[in-house]
Amino acid sequence: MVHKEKKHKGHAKAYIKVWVALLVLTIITVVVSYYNFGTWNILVAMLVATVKGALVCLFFMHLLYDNRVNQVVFVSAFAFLGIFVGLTASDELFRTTEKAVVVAQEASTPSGADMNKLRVASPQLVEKGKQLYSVQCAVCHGAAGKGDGPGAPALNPKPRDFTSGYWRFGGQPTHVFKTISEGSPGTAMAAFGTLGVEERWSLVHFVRSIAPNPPDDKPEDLAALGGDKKTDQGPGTMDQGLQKPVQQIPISFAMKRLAKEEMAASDVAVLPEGKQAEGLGEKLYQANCLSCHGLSGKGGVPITRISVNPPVYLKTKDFAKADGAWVNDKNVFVDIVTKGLPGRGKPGIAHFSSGEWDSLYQYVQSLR
Amino acid sequence: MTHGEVTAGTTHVVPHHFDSPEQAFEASKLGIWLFLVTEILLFGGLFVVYIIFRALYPEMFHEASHHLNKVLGGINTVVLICSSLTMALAVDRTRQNDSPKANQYMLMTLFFAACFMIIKYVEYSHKFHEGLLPGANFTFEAIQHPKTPLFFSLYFMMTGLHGIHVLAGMGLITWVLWRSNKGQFSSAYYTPVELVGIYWHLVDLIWIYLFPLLYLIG
Ligand code: HEC
Ligand code: HEC
Repeated sequence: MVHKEKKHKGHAKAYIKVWVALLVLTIITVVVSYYNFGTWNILVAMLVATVKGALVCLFFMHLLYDNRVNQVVFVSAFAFLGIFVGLTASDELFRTTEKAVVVAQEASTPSGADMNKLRVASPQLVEKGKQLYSVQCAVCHGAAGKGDGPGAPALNPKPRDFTSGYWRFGGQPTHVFKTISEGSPGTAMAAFGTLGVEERWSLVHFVRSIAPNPPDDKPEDLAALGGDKKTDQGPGTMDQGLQKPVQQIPISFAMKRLAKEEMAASDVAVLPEGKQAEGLGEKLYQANCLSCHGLSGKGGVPITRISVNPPVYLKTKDFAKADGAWVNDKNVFVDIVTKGLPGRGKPGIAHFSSGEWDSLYQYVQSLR
Repeated sequence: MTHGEVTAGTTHVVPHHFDSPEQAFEASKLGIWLFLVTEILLFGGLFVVYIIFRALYPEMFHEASHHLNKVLGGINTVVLICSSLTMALAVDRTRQNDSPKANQYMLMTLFFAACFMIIKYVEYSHKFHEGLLPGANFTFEAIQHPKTPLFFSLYFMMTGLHGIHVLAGMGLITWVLWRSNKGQFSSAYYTPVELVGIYWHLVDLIWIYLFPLLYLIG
């Protein structure tokens, strides 16, 4: 059979050179993988793999000497692969509804809004605030502002009861505005700086309208307002534990997603209204453990967020499925609950008397 | 060489619908290349799944990848590269009318392929033991991320499909070796050796990508 390369005395030498090159490249990828170069790791790994692949194709498969048709056919496979990957990724990886929401809300921010005008309550502003409140705040603060929204039982500290007359950061309009804009670090009260200035002021007026005798701004508050440009510049930090704001998602949106995707399979982490505890153990459980382990100990309650998009949570497990030593040994139980499980989102809870430990242990056993 | 002539030392007859042995050879080669295209798209589906999930859960892929054995994966890469070399040499020898040498190279290729499968077996049995199997059989708890089973399902699907290709390749090489041993191939006719060789290099090519993507994340 006549063949282009037939004149040569075989390819053995070339093959061995290619083989050596392949081994060297393999060593390079393995070595590189032990160092952390961020995204460069994957790029280098893919580049090396592609060089190796090309050597195999061109020499071992002798595509280099093959006729043009075969070359085109084989390379076309990668073109189709590119289309396959490209189209799928362009759909799957760019579904960011959150961003759209934030952009829409930022666009509605009146630039250079007249703070002095907004500072004064008007029926229109209170009405606007009322509507926004029911969407953004009622989950925690309750429809009537009594701090008893559906999300409240799981929170500590509890959301403010606006009808109580207590203000941690002051009830003056400028103070409430600051609280809403910047949140209360370390609590569930997030910063709502992503809302427009006018929106935030309308919330101030609505919240104050349901509070008993809210104090007015004093001259020094107003002076601070003039000097403190920060208040009208929007976003404060959303996630107080971090230095930089991660992704500004309106809390209502986050709550909706939470409710839809994550709570679906979980136990009720909220004490249903009118449910009475029957014994001491049950009472202690409901007060201390229910918010994480669920009403019937079935777990599934999201505790720590471990990925941002899509949100994925570390969840508590079903007591019934537990097989740790605590199941048979009260001392281990006391030890786990007292010390908590650091790194797994379980706090240490130790304030029980020995009688209370007994009832609590019995009750948790009964949930299994 | 005329139409339908019996080539030296073999019983091979060029099929009557071809004008010449060259044409028959080229047609067979086009066939194998087309087959390789479908193979790449077959694995391509798994690569797409891999890309999407790795983009969605980078930390999880990172952590899970540490539970694969880099050393065994690396040894297997070297083993496959060696098998590719011996296969290429076998084709080369056949073309030089040196069947005895070619047979030796094919035996070596089979040996390397068997090594690959044995190492794979060691890796798999360890993973089975750890409870990393897909679906309801997943009982591994050392990684907290709830989507962890995804990575290992992908690992088993990708390396499993590749392993099936290695086994198929071993069967094909055995067949070619058997025919070669009967003296059916020479520089005049060696199409099956050539095509099995090309297929075998594809198996190596796919592993070249699987290895860094699964074992060497970060
Ligand atoms: C995720 C639950 C949650 C949501 C949603 C929420 N809050 Fe709060 N809020 C809290 C908690 C918890 C506190 C108590 C913080 C503290 O004690 O430091 C609080 C406290 C407050 C306070 C009291 C500050 C003080 O000085 O005592 C105000 C005012 C307030 N929230 C307004 C709002 C407004 C307006 C909204 C809607 C835009 C809202 N909150 C949405 C949880 C929430
Ligand atoms: C802030 C949330 C939180 C609270 C409150 C909480 N736990 Fe836990 N608990 C966890 C997490 C997270 C884990 C680890 C995941 C798991 O095993 O469910 C855990 C695990 C446990 C375990 C081990 C379960 C196992 O599977 O072996 C026991 C027992 C337990 N908790 C008892 C209690 C009791 C009793 C209380 C009330 C005094 C309580 N926990 C309060 C979050 C909480």
